[in-house]
Amino acid sequence: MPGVGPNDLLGDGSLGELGPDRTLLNPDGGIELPAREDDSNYNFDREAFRDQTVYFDFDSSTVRPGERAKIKSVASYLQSDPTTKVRVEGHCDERGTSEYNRALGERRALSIREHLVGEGIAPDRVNTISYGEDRPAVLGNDPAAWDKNRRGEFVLMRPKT
Amino acid sequence: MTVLKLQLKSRFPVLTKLMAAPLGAPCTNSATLRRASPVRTVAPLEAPASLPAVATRPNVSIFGGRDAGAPRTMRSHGLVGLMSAALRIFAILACAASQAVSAAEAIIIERHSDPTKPIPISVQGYSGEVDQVLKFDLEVMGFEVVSPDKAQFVLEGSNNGAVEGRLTDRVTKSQLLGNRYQNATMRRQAHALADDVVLKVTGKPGIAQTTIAFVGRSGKTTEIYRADYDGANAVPVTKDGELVAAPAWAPGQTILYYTSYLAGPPDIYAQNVRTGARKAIAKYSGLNTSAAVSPDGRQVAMILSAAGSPDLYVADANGGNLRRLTKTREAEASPCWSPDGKTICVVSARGGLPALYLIPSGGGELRRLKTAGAGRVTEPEWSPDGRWIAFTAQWSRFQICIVPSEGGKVEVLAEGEDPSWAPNSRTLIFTRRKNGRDVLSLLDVPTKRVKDVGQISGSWSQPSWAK
Repeated sequence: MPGVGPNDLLGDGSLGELGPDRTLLNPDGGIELPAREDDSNYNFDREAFRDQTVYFDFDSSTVRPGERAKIKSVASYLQSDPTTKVRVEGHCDERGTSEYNRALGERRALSIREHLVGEGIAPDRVNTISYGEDRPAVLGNDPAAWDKNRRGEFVLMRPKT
Repeated sequence: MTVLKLQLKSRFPVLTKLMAAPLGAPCTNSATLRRASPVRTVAPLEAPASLPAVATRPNVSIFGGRDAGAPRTMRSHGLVGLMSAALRIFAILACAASQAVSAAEAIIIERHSDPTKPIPISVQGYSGEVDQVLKFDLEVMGFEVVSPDKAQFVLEGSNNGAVEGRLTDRVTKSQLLGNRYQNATMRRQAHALADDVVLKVTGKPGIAQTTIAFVGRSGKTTEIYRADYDGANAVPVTKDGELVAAPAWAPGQTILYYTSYLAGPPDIYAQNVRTGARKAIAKYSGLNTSAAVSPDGRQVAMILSAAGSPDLYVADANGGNLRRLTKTREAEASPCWSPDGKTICVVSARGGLPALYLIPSGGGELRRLKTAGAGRVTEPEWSPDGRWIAFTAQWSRFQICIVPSEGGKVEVLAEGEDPSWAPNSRTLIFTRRKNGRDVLSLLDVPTKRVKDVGQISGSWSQPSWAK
């Protein structure tokens, strides 16, 4: 577990929303990701958390207060079944450039992960993947589509028995 | 394959310099010469009707865009040419006393001098693909193809079996080059001639024989491709059927780095495009993307999120000896190297909006690079001569911009995104949206002229110009 240190607040303020347990944050700016493991050991379920997709403001990776309940709900499920893990997928709308969106999508997934950790989920049960703007949920070049594409999706990982 | 070139030297190199006045021009005094009037058309210098073939050693590298050395020359003589030259000398001497000043004025009027305007050139005698390639190349490289009477330079020749061409300067009345090409496709010969014209006229190497890589999307599938700089001869580099992104050449045209999701998450690979051999460079947890190879080829900068945030890292070119350069909470993206390898320019969102920062490549502090006039700034690319950083700025649309590499005022060049410099530090390739798909476009920075790359189908984006 990363040690206690000053929060490295550099702009988006989301650390303030984690609740009292700020010590989980790496003072360098994030919680280290667990080592890669073999995906073939797991079944991937995209439907389990379909309704918990978290939406973001343009160019932001801050989790809005109104979205937090969804993360709590995912955390709750994970707590009920300690064999499971979750993958958070970060996405962007088309209005940023390609590689910037790949990084922003990852930053969104990591922000959600930090909230899950803040809810008591062990960091090594959550991994992240960013698709940038390459996997839109809704095709379209208008705000309605863009709103639906700036998102983090949860994919439940159940170990194969 | 190597393009062989025979140089047809002007028969009268000594006399060429004396041919300053147009043959047959009346001896008028300087007061009647107006700045706007063009030099009178004269018969072009005669070239021999047929050339004995001369074997020369190859002197053009197939995979470079640069003049590889002085070619062998060939001489021939003829009576007609001597008489023609004698007449010209007589005409000069007869007018010399009263015309010395006006002859000099006539030359100055014609000479192209405004770098923001294309150089007028006439291209005569070619057909089909060769004609098309010559004109495209010259228009990309800062010329405008015009009719002979409006041109300062005349490129004349033919492509019957082999491309040959003679370049004349109408102002100095001198032949600048006369070449014939062989041992390559006609298209390649045409590119070689275009490069030779550019080198003669501008003194700088051309880019007509250079190579690009890009992401090609067709439906939902993306693959990495490489092609000639004009989009011809596109071949796939990847065939995995998985999401790919961010191709980036190592110096040369052999090793290409790129991001691929073929193993599931985004990882960085390096591939020898000739043999197909591929090696994983970064497969850490989370995001591995935005590889940028240092100009000396020894190191690679990358964006990795394994420590919990997308940060800038540098490793040896094979991925070893990994060093973390930034530790910000916000995301970094799209690093690029200064030509001397000492500095990396990277995007960071640490100030709220994405902006450009400089950091010593050996580690140090992020320092904001001033981009006055631009809002959200991403995708920097440092020009090979070190003077400029090109980038994508985002207002309501994406704009290709440049800023002096020490920071300062931004110049908007064209609508589009994701620029990559040619080796000449003058041409940019970028992506723009056209009729519902992405196309690659070529921008000549001084004249701001844009030409789309030839592209048959699909969306082409994220270009990288081999250097």
